Amino acid sequence: MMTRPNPYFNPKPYIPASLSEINDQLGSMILFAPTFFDRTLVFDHDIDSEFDKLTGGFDLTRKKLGEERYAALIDLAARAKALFAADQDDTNGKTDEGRALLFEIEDVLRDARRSRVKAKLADDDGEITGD
Amino acid sequence: MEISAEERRLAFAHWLRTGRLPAVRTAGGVELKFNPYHDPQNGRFTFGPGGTAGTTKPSPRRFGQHAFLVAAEAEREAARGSNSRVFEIPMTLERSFPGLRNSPGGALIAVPDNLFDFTGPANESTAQFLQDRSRQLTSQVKAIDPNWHYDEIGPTDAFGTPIVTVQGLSAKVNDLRFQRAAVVARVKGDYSTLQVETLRFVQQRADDAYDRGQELLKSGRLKARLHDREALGNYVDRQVRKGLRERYNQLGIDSAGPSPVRVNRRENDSSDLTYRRPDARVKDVAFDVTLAHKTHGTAQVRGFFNTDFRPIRVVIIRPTQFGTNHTYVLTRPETK
Repeated sequence: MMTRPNPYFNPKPYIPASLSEINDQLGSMILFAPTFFDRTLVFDHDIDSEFDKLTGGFDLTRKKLGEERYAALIDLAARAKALFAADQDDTNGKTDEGRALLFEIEDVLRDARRSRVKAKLADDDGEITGD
Repeated sequence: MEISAEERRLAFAHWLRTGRLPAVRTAGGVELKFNPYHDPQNGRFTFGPGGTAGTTKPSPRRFGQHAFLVAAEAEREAARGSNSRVFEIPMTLERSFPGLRNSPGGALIAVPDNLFDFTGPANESTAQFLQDRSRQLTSQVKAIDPNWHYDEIGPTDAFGTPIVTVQGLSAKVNDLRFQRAAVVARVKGDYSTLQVETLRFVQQRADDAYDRGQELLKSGRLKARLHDREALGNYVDRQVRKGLRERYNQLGIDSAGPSPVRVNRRENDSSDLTYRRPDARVKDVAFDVTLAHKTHGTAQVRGFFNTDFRPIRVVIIRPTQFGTNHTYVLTRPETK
């Protein structure tokens, strides 16, 4: 029985905090859909934990995304999650449909980053990178 | 008596393993005469490096040959000397890459395969070996910080008895190794162990992502805007960076701030007001995940060495599926 928290363990889950970090999160999800099971057993990943990270990232970058894109991304993520949930064995084709929605999310993120570069908006380091 | 940082580290590792400080050789009356064919670590007779490989600064034209010689020397070093360190887990890149410690600037040192032995020996004693290693690592971390403890949440059967598998034990050992590295970094301010564990973690994730990406590409289920190989490399990078951020976050390490541990952050080169973004940086070592073979002649690598944190090494990590020399260390070129 645990009597005290491990002083080195951070109970707060990782949430991507920039558009490029969300893009990395998305890349990982595209590879490991529909279960997102971590075959190396380092992480206890599942469909809920991975979509929580993705939508949590949208929340953190909402201002940068703009309301229209944010709403579109939340909708795409909800639809993708439902498709993956309905095909956990990757046998009925819904995983491919869900992955196509993740590709759409990629496109929206790319569009957001291009817009920021075009508008010369700086990232957290003060550089114009689209982040 | 003055001892080097490496000797101090070895003494510390010995103390962690045995609870005893190692004997001081010279105080014990044993005189080690200088002989280039004696291993400086233990005084045992060994084979000389031969030729001029160890002393000649490589020119770009001879670099391939030099790299080969250094890699061959590394293999010899791994094979010689006492076997007392067979079960010692390497805690620094110098110990992980035999030949790196005495290599000249501008060298390329290939990784030994056993660094990525994630599962340990494949025989009937594997489980016992892994359990022993878990206990060893646990006691090492507790020796550094008695408040540390391992919170284990694993699968159980219907009666609540933990289900123990070799794969699960192996994951636990890898987890403990990473935790030990994080504790050493935070308590002692020594990032060398975290450099080794970062390399091992990245290698494991790169291998897994490469396998999965190839599987999806072959079945036409992965969208590739670019050439397939570029697309695959891109997915491997993303999977590695995402995993590394998450891993550091679990252990309370902020990889997006000004700390010496950073994932894909801007590293300035104030000499020409540019910057580079290594996939990861742990103190004075940069890590680059790639499918390409990169050398000191690669502009990106030169850029890493020129950044303001002045990395002493750039580790090039390619999937294990690439075979021999998939992953290697580039040492900082000697300044003219």
